[in-house]
Amino acid sequence: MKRFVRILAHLVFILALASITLMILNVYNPLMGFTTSDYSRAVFLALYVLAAVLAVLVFSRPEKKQSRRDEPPREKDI
Amino acid sequence: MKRRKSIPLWAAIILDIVAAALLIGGWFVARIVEDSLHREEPIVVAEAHPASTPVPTPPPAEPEEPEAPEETEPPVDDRSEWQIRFADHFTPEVISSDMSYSGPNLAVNISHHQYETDRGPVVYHLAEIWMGNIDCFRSGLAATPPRFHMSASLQKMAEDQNAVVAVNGDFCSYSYGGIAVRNGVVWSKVRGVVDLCVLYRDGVMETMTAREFDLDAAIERDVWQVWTFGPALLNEDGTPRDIPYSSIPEIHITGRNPRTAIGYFEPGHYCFLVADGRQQGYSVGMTLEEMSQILSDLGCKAGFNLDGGGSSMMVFQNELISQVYSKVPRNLSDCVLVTDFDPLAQETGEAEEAEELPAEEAEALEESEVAEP
Repeated sequence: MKRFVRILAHLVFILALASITLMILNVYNPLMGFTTSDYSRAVFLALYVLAAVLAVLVFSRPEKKQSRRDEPPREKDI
Repeated sequence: MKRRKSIPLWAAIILDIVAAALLIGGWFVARIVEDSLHREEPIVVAEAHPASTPVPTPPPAEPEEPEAPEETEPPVDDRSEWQIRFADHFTPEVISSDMSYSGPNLAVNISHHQYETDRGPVVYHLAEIWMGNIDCFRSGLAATPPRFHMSASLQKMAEDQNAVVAVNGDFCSYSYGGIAVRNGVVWSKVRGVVDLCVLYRDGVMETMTAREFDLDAAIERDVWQVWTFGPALLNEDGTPRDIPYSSIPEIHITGRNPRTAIGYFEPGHYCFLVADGRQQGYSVGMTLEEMSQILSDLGCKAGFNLDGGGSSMMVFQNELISQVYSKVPRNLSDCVLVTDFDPLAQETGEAEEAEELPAEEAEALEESEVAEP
């Protein structure tokens, strides 16, 4: 599960970078359709969906146990 | 149990950036594929045919008579309305120089101008054009239909159509959407958001917003060319327009840049303006307001901004007369040009071809008769 979340995080990062680049390119050349073409819309949609899934996975994870400082020390940590 | 070594964070980020770059590259591939697969059927509005131009047909040649008639009839004036109106500019034979061209159907005057601004000098080139028929005013395309990945030099496109003067167009192949009509053929009919310039076969040129444009009405009115770029530079009365920057999507359309514009005086009388720019000490570029003022001062009734920046260039008689800021002039998808088109010569050529056919048929018939035993 951890591995899946990490991969998802990387995918969201890649899509976010691509989306930001497309938006910057669109500022300089809006007639070319950097943000309005079908491909661009697919990139944005993928970003939104994967970001939503990632967010759900992150906040649905069980809370971590209390700090180890509160636990009695284990033999090997000494 | 051995722990798997994970790649360092910096390496992971670099790999992600590379993947994002590939995704961006995919955008261009997708445009090329989409361009090829989803090409609309072009609509032919008007044939680029001399018969459709307002030229009266010359009277048929009469056979020679042995006796001359007692009363001679006055010679028939077979010139078009525009040839008569602009007769001062046309010449029976072609006369050309570095700065001008004149013939029976086309006259072009080239002038170079310079003025000073607080940022430096601005150099611009003006081509004032008079034509005898609308078929002189044409578009050149690097590919038909216009393709996203296909472009050609302005000089090549101008040469292909024997252009006297040519300037860059609106780079229609790059536009995602927008109306594109070239030489009477509708290549794209997707409504865009920017201004349009429309040229009809009666010679009238109008600028309008995308919302105001009605393709069906334009076809009804025999549209000849439509460019999608803008903004329109003049009001309906020919005064400089307040450029609506808030409605223009492009951030770099403001400021000083190399620019190209077309101006309209009246049917048959137009101008091309190309401003050099991005060259400190030579020409820093023109603002839209300055271009608007220049066209208004010239007396234009309509003016339209075309693609600028690295695309802005003017070719006169196959020579590049503007100075581009890049080392190599950019290849373009389309251009606007004027050519010395003689509709009467076209009709004569077609008539001669028609006369040749019976002779060929007669020869073929003769050969077949000889072959028979």
